Amino acid sequence: MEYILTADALSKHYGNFKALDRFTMHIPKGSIYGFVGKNGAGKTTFIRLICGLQKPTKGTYTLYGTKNTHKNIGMCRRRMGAVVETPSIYLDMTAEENLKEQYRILGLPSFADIPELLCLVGLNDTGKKKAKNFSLGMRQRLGIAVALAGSPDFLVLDEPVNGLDPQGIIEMRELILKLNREKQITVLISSHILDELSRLATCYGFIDNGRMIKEIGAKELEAACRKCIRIQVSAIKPLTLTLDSMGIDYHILSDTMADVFAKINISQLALALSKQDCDILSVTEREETLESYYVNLIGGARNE
Amino acid sequence: MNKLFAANFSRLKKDKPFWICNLFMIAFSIFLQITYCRSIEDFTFVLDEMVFTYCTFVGILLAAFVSLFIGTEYSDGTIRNKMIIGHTRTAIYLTNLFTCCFAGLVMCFSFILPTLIIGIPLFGFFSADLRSILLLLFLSFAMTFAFVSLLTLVSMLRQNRAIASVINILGVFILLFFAAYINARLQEPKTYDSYIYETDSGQIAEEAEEPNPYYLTGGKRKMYQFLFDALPTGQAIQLTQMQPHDPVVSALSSAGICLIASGVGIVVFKRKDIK
Repeated sequence: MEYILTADALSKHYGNFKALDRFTMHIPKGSIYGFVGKNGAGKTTFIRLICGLQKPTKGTYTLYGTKNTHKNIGMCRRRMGAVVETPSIYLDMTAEENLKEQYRILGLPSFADIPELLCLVGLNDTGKKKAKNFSLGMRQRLGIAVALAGSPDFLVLDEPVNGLDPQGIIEMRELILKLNREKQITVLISSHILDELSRLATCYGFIDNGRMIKEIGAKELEAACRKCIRIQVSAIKPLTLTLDSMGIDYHILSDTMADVFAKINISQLALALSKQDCDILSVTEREETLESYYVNLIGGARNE
Repeated sequence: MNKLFAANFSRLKKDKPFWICNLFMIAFSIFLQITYCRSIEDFTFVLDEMVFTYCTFVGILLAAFVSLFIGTEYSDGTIRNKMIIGHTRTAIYLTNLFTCCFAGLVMCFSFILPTLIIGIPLFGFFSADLRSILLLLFLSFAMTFAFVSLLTLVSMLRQNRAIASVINILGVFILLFFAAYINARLQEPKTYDSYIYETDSGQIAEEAEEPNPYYLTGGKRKMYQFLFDALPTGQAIQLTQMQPHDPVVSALSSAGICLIASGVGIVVFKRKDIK
């Protein structure tokens, strides 16, 4: 698999505090990577490191195959755009002026793309309104437009839906999906709003106390969170034979336990199993959400 | 760096504090000449006396301007845009420094040009020779750059715009008061003159000349004089009075301040964690 960004044992210490501790990450090209963690877990610190705002204490990261210690890392960063925490925009300028300023910083010779970019983020009709008079959602979208100047193929968004109203959240989601699908931009989104992330992300990374707890694909996660019936039986083989004969999808957990991904007739199953001298010991319905998956993962349930 | 300069100058063109500072300089020049013109019947004025008055004010104006111009990059977070796309920290520091130096020069000329345009017809041309006027002009620009270097150092290393503004403005005022104090100590007379006075009983008494205990001598006087020549605010007072004590020390000191402040600023800024 081709990765846009990888981190290897990356650490960042502020005095004695370890904001990142031997952190690893792999962001596949073309993905929307959901970076999940509670406040203070180290998400923004990691984003600051890859944006070159801060230097790692230990470890390395690789952007487009170039290590952060290599002299060309600056050139590689030209291919990425980022909105770190708050949108980086001049509040005393209009949307168009902000983009012109960014174009100058990038050294782009023409401003011809600006109307298209403003249209893409839905700010084409803001006219002479200054950014300080924009709503939070408009500022976020302008921040993304500034990050998109120079046509990056990797976009880093730090908590892009924080503080947005429901309409703003929907617009932001549609924009991110559009950028990923139409422009093939790889997106890294950090958030602790799991429900929102689950509608966007194609893979996830869970961070806690500065460490990567788990990286998982959306399909894998979906399977893990799929609604199922957990059946405990006296022997697993008769159960699998019966389920196979019924054409039902299942996942074996142990010698006596399996998750069944279908609505089954318990009486029919019990009858079929009893013919093979197999008893059903328990049946429970299970449905794991991204939230419960995350809580279980970071040990939240244990602490409750 | 050209890209950063293009962006900075485009921002400077629309920067309100910059234009307010320039308008103040123009208005102050006009006000000064009107005031001098109204007293021309009682006193004789020459152009030289007013043309370098800006030296006292340029530091204060620059303290406000530099803090706001550079501080906005932090408060609006736009300095991140420059770093994310790969501009080096040295380039970012230097372009901000040079842009503010340019702004400082424009502020100086905002005072000088109206003074010359209105002043020459009213008061005539400079009475001093042109070479010494050009030397003073050079020293005043060097002093302006020294101010900008110190103010840029504070503004680039303090991410909080309000704190940077307070440090810069207070700093310039403290240095001005310090320079004024040094000047007052250097101006102390060597002795108190003898004088004759009439006592309450109507007798004439005489007090002999006495040495002034506050008069600075020896190494202490040299140190005070060096500080007065080296400090940008000390230079500002000397240049406003058109009496630079030692132009070489002043010029070298300005150059030294520029180099040391910028060197330290770049080294610390390169290691700084940006939020």
